[in-house]
Order: sequence, then C-alpha cells, then structure tokens
Amino acid sequence: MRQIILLLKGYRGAQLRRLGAPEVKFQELDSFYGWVDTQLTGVKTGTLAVGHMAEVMTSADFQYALGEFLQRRMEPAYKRKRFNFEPIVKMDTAPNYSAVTRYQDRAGVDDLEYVGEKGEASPGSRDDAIKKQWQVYKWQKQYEFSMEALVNDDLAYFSDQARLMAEAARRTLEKYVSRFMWNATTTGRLTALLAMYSTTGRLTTARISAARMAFNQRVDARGEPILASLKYIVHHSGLVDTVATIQNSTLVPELATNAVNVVRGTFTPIEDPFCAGTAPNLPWFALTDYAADNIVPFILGRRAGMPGAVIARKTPNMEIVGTMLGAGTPAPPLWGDFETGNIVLKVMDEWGTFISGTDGNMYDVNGCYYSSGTAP
Amino acid sequence: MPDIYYAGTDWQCSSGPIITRRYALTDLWPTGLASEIGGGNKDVLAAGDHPVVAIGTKADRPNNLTGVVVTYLNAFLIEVNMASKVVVKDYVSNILTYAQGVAATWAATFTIAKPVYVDDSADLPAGCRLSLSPLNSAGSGNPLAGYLHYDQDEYRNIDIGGPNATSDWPVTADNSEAVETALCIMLVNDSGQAWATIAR
Repeated sequence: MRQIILLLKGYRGAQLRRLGAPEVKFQELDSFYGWVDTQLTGVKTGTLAVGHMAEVMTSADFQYALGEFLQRRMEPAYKRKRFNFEPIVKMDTAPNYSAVTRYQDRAGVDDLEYVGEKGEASPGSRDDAIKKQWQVYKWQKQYEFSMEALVNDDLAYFSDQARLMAEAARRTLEKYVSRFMWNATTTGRLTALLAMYSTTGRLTTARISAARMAFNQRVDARGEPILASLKYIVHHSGLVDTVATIQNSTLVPELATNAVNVVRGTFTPIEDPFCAGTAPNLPWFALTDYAADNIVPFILGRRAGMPGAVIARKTPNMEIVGTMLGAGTPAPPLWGDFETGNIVLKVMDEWGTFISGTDGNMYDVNGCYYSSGTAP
Repeated sequence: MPDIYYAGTDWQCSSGPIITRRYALTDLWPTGLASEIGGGNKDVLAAGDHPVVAIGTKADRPNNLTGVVVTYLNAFLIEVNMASKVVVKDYVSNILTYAQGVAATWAATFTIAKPVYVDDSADLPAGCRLSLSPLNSAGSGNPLAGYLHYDQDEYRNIDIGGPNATSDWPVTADNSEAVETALCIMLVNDSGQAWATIAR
C-alpha cells in the first residue's frame, strides 16, 4: 500500500511540474502524501506538517451551496383519547331521514282478583304502549385547498388530512353521545325525579351502592317491580383512579372499618373525556345494561346503508386532453377544478337520537342515574 | 384592539361562492401605510391575509366595489373574491356614528344582518377596516361590505342533539366604547347599490 501511495505522490508531482505549479503546491504534496503514509505506518512523527490536514474552507464559506440547507420535518401529532360509548347506547337503523317510531310495552296487565261462587270475573285492562320517535341528521364538514398548497406540502402536513377528517367524525359522534348524559334537560329531569334517579354526591362505594339499590327498586308503568341492574358507570376523566380504587379494594376504601366492598367488580367503568367538571366536583352517571334488561337508556340511530363516516372529493371538472411535451407524455396527476384549481374534500356521516323537551335524550329514564358530584 | 389583520385559518365561513378577480394594492383601501383618514396606518397586506376591502378610487365612494382578499403574491397581483353572499370572518367595530371627527355612538350588541361598511376612519385600529357606520369620521359615505351573519357553529342546535342550547347571537359589545370583534360577514359585493338604495 505504501508503494502505491509513493507512486501516486510521484505521479501527482509530475503533473504539477508539467503544469508549472508553484513551490507551495509541492509542499502541500509532501504534507498530504506524507500524512497518508504516516496513517498507514501507524508511526506518529509529531510534526505538524504531516500530522494534520488543515481545513481551509468551512460550510460558512458556501452561503448558497450549503448555507441555505434547512432540515424541516414534522413531529408526531398528539394521540387522541376516545370515548368508548358503544355499550351504553343501543344502535338502531332508520330507512331514510324521516322520523321512525318505536313502541315499547312498559306494563303488564291487572292482578287477578277474588271471584266468589257464581261470581263474574272483573274485566282487566292493558296499558297503551310508550311511543318514541327519532330521526337521523346529516353531519358534515368540507375543506378546500388550493392545488399549490398541496403540491408545496413537502412536509406531508396534509397527508393525514383524510385520517384527521375521519377522526373528527368519530369525535363529533362521541361528543354527541356524551351530551346525552350531561345536557341540562337530561340532568334536570333526573334531578327532578329525586333520590331514586339522582344524587349530588361524589363517586364513592356508598354512592354506587345507592345507585345500585335505586335500580334494584325500579318499577314499570303500573308500579310493578322490574329487573334493572347497574352495569356501567360513566365518569369524568378525573375519576379514573377513584374508580380503580373502588374496583380493586376488597374493603370499603372510604371507611376505617373492615366493611366489605360489595360493589367491587359489579360494574364496568367507562371514561368520558368530554364530560365537563372541576375537581373535586366531578359528575358521574350510572346505567343499566340494555341488552340484559331491555331498558334502553339511550339510542343512537343511523341510516341504513350509512354505517359510518365517508370521505369524498369533489370531482375536478377538468380533464387533461394533451400536453405540449409530446405524445405519450403523462400529465401531472394533481389538478383541482377548472376555474380556480381548488381541491375540495368532504367528510360525511349521519346519525340521530331520541330528543325530548322533557326527558332530554333519555330513551328510558329507568335506565339512568345521575350525580353532579358536587356534595362531599 | 387588533393591530394585524384577522389571521385565523377559519376566515372562510362559507364554502363559496368564489369569483376571483385580480387587482393591484393601489386599487384596494384602506390597507397599508397612510391609508386612514389623517394619514394613519393600517396593517400591511401580505400573503396569508384575507381582509375585506373596498376597491377603486375613494372619489367614487360609497359606490365602490368590495371584496375579500384571497391570495397575495405581491403589490401588483392580488386575487380578490368578488362573489356575492360569500361569508368570511373579519374584525368588525361596533362604531355606529361619528361626530366632530371622532366616534360618537357604539352598538351595545352586534345583531344578525346588521349592515357592515368599509370604514377608513382613524378610530379603527390597524387590523380593523369594518364598522357599522355608513359614514366615516370625515362624513364621507362608506362602501357597504355586507351584513353580519352566523358563523357555522353559532346556531342554536340543541334540538337536533347539537352542543348549543342558545344561539351565540346577538354578540355582546359595549354602547360606551369601541369594541372590535371577529365576526362573520355575508358580503354583497354589489357596487354599493344596496347602500345607495337605502340612502336615497
């Protein structure tokens, strides 16, 4: 290898002589090949001339070629918290945008009565069914971009636009369902129904027990006992650890005694990130299991054929019929509309629920129990 | 006191209509340095700004065209949306009238469909060119820009399960001093004809 370096040095020296290079260039030649030779032998001479390569130009010398380089990149976006509301709302389907009607028999018939010998049985009666109506509405948002904005997007800032639009559709629906529980009409109705349907107490084992016992005493339209069990506790995000303590403690966590925590594991907690409240006054809501008890607290309707959000792009009213670049040359793929170059996207979904000026969004008040969480 | 033009990316409150026409900066007012009555400055128009402006010579006021700036490339190439009934967001002052060259009365509230004018009076801060006054502080007619309108999420919609138990309108202002609020305006872009009809 050292022989090759020596040959290269001689060859470069001959070149410089032929070019009439000044003496300083020959000194540089000695320094450079001497440095490489030293690196190969591993022997450090300690002399400055062959021990270092001097850097004569820095990045700062190239203000155009190097100085304008900027690294730009996107950092990952936030991750979104979801409200997994599906267990607490019964899904239903409407064939179109008109109101649909549902009926539920919420009472049995009369108790039997004594009839004496040769006596005639008294006539019984049957209650009318409860009528509920709801309909679906369209929920949409559109976004308009100039073609230049999308082409200039070297950071791919808009590359996840479709995903964000779909997320927005889901988030809007989650907020919609969240309002079922916390809107003023719903909470006002439950508050007016007093202790069997509401409390003001913060979330504790005793309060959950009170809610369970309230459900346990539910009656039908004729006052007859019905099967109603507390299954879900929907709560403010600030109550997650409170719920975990209640769920994991074998003894009542609020008491110094050894009383057994009987509500442990008897309910399924669901965190609602859209529930508003300021600690320590954090609300919570107890619900039945509509699948088990046929008591439907809330209903969420969709239109048949529209089970989820869709994203659409307005079809450009422009067709490329040729280019000035010759036959067969592909045209750029991204074009907006003919007039302005705009590119328009739309996210669409459809849903609805039961809405009442008296009951709020409660399809069946028997499945609901509310606490404002304001009392210690 | 907005000193710069409304800068939110939510400046479009309707999806259209869009009819763009190109103008130079000198055709638009009031914008930039010395564009107020008395020589005061408005914010300088730049890319990304979308102010509602009047177009043409001030000698023609109040029958000027009005529009909203869509794109700004430089002082000579500015695209302005001239479409009627497009809704955009901009700062609006609650000044109702002027007297002796200064604001004299102010609206206690902004109400739906209240006429909005392009006003070059110095009482408006640098980022605001719109008021409720048909005349400026010098007594000259202000071109009609449009009418106050709902933003897309300002309607009462609780009856379909929406979040708003009440409408956001009327919007509170102050009848004793100037208040500038970012509001949606449905532009009319009708050469001031509606104003002229009302005034005569």
